Amino acid sequence: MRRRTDTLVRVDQERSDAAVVAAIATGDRRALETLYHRHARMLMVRLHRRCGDPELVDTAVQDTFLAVWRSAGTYRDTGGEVGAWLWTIALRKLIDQLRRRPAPSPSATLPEPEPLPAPGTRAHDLLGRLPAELHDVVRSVYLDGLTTAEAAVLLGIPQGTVKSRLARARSVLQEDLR
Amino acid sequence: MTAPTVHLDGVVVRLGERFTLAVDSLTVGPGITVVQGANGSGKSTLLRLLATVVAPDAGRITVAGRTIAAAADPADRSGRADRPAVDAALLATRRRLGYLPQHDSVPPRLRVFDHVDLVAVMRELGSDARSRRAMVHRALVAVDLDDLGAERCGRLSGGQRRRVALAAALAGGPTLLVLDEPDASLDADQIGRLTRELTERAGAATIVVATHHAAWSTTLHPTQRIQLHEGHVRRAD
Amino acid sequence: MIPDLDARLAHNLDVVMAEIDAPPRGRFERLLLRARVPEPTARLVAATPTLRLAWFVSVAVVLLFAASAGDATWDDTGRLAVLLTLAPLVPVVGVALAYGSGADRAHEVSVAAPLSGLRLVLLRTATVLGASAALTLLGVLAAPSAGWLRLAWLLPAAATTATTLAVGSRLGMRTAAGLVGTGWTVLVVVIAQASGDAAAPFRAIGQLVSLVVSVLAAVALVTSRRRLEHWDGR
Repeated sequence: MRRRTDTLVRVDQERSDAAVVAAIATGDRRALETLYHRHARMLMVRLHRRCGDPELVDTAVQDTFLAVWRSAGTYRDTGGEVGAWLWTIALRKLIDQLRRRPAPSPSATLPEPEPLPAPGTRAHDLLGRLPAELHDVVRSVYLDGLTTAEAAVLLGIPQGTVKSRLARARSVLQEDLR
Repeated sequence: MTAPTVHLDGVVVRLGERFTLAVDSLTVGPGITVVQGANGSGKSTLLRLLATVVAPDAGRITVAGRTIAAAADPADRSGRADRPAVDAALLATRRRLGYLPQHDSVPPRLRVFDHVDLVAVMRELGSDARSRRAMVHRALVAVDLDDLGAERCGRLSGGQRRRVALAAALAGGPTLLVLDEPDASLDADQIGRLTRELTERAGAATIVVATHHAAWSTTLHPTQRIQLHEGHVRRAD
Repeated sequence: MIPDLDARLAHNLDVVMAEIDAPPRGRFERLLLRARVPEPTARLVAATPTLRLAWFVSVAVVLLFAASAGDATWDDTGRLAVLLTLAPLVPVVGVALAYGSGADRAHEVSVAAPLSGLRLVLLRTATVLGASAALTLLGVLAAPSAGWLRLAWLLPAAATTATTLAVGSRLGMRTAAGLVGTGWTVLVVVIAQASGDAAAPFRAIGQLVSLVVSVLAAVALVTSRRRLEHWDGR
């Protein structure tokens, strides 16, 4: 089946992400398709690093763009990345999915660990100082801005474990900085 | 699923006193089959047989080698024992079937998307609601009606309603597609769109199209043509 | 790296666009979903009242009229008897209107679909029955009080509906509805005349007979379900 969107994406190429989101807020369906073509692949790849179940990832991506359609008006162009905004929504939608279904063992939901953030950034330095088992918790809470409860769902571990690992991470970092 | 072959053997359908459709032996599919004939020649009756809407009064119909209809023959006691197998084959055939009747099959009060979705529910498409509705959306895109999903069918033009019914038949990519005059009340653009859609699908489906328009049927490049005359197959090649 | 990523990306976009383009689900359908009715069933059921809304409104008007405008010279039992006689006809008329080629343009399409014809008929009948029962209840509650007799239409309504379906699977729903509707009315009038009691058909024996007829008709319907799978255009 032919898609009309291919040509539209090209036409839309010069528009900034923020302008596309603004167009979505006015009810422009084609703009939503444009945003999807720009970001959905990346979101799926990143969600897959957090969750190995394709069905949950698919639903999370669908929910993300449906949420964008309904709430594009609440996006404030403060110079922040649209990609980061989408990622926050996508992660929350994935957590909603995980909450709905009892997660299988954590190892099954983490097919491959997410690579460290780009070298030279603060995030890279921060995670580099920590033992590997603390990475996921720190990434979820400090970099993705999740609550400890959300991180527990995402990682498939008890909330208490998230808190104790966070405490350990903090003490490691404090020692490092001393 | 591959395109099924449909075989009719000694099939007779009697409609009242006046009309009888009799098909000695006919094999349809894979690819596009065009059915032609004057009004009252039995085109629609043949298509309704293939769409499992009308049961034959005599004879046997098989789809992909399995019997889906065998008229009860009083002398043949084995027919009764086969009933569960025939029922299962009929169900399997309907799962792969998309059917566009000749008459207007679109209820005026329903919205465009809802009608196609309702047919999709009855056709048991999709593993869940979202994937079913995605198929409905794709079908509406295929007939160029996705912008009118929320419109009531009663407010559409004849050509648009025809395309709604067409979308209901095309949704989910059925491997057996029975279309009774799909070109009726379509404009030239839409007929071109339909031609591309059908030829694109012809490699993986058995498509039976009844039409009055010889010129259009040529552009479909059918693998087979059936000419009906007064309830009999005059020519099949 | 991720298998079928392109296909899944295309599919997910279709899902998103479908949800955006689709008209919002109606109130009745959302109510059914909240009551944990499976989504496909809710769709099937919700579409029936959409098609029949005009009919429901007219039935409501008729019943309220019958309830309020009874002849002043009738006694209460007489007025109630009229309502009780009308009430079992409501679902019969509903079934007649909800089925058959004339009523449902998509009838042929539904026959060609794998969804069981029996299941579709029962689902739609249950919808018609539920809606008409609710309307009838309103009409009867507005009627002069006569104790339990006000609910005495329930079993007769089940009997007339089941009989219509059973006969309809052989003769067509409209013919069946005509036969059952006429038969029911004649029966009630004859019994009432013969016994000199307008409510006679609705007392204990009548209820028992209704129950038996309902069960017999239901059995007949289920055993003849194959007839519902092939549409007979003749």
